[in-house]
Amino acid sequence: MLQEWRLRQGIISSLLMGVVTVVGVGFAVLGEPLEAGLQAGLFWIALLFGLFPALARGFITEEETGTADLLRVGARASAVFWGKWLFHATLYLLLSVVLIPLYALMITPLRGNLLDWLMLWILGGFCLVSVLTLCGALVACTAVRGALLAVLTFPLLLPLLLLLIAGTKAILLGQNVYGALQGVLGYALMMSTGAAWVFERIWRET
Amino acid sequence: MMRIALGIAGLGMFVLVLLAFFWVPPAKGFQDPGSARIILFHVPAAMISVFCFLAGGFFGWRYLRHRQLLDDARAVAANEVGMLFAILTTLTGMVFASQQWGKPWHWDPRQTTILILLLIYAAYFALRAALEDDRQRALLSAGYTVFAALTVPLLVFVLPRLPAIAERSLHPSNVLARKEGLDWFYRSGVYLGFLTYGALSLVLYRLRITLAQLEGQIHELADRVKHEHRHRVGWHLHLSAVASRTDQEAGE
Repeated sequence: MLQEWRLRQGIISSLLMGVVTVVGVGFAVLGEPLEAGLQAGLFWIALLFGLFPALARGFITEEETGTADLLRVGARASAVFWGKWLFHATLYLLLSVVLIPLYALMITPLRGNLLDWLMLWILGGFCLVSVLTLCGALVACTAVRGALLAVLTFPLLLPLLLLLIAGTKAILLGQNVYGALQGVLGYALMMSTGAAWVFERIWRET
Repeated sequence: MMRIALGIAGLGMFVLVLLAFFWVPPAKGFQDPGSARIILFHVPAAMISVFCFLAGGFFGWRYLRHRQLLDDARAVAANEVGMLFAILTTLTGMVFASQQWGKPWHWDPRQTTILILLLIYAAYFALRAALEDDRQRALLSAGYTVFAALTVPLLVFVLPRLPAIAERSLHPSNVLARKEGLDWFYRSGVYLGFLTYGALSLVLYRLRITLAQLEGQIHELADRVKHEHRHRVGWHLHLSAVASRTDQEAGE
């Protein structure tokens, strides 16, 4: 975590990017009342686009600064993966603390059961961080990493986005959210286990 | 083996078209009963694409364990055939949707999930195209295809059936699993479709593997010729240097 603090300029620019995304969505809505499904969709799209530039930077920055080889030599693959995962999870927490209140303030207040929101946010973040960490590692040594990162990551995140939107809509309407939560939990576990397994097998040779 | 598969695919396709147009009756309970016959092509294509994507994931996993380039070629071949059948599924589904529900694209959960699947595998091919080195391309794309294959069961079997998502679906569900889902005419047509498309996918898969092997041989030959040419050019340069030095000495 201390090592990652050297990238704080990146964190600040990611935070600003997230703020700009939420403000951009706010301009599109202009205070109009939103239907629950649309509100749920906009919430997760604003959050995802705000978080996206920050959450896969870890490995790309290591390759750009030439420190990835040191990590390959000096640390176990699982330690590298979960270390980066932890850093990305902290960023997710940090950016969410800023972006969610901003969304509620500028676009539309968030209603519903707080515990359901919290569960959805935690499980969604768990999955999001795992997918982005692995995809960041996959594209880090390619020539067109920025574009490729978006191309690889978004399709893998779309099923999660579908589940999160369905869950958020259920929360906003005061309905039962456990079906969607089960789906998010299953996807999060599958993606995290898969990402850790794949990473261990590719890291040394990339 | 290939000839038998090709024969089954050709004959099966001919019989399947005849069955769809002249034997299978219009289905009850549909807005346009005649267009339901398209399931003879749509359902087998969907199942074969799922099978191919899972096979691609399996070969990717094998590559990560054994590092054999043949497994990478197998994974690519399976994913390419899977992509082809997934596109076929999407197109036949759109034809059905435009007849039954008035427009080809409804953002139905089934349509959405197959679109996501197409995007995931398009990303796989984009990743491969972005990598120059054979070993690195095989390694990273094997990692991605294992990861992508994990999403396949979820996108095809779980997500469209979740109550929170399934409530807005128009797509018929579990028609093969339920006894009353399909009558005898449709069921036998769909099974023939499985056989035909299975044989066709096997032929395409084998052709793609053969193509990959030929490409490998051509690259190997090209490398050898380049190496020999460099050696020969080096020899000539060496000889000409010796000759010019001898001329110089003779002149002196």
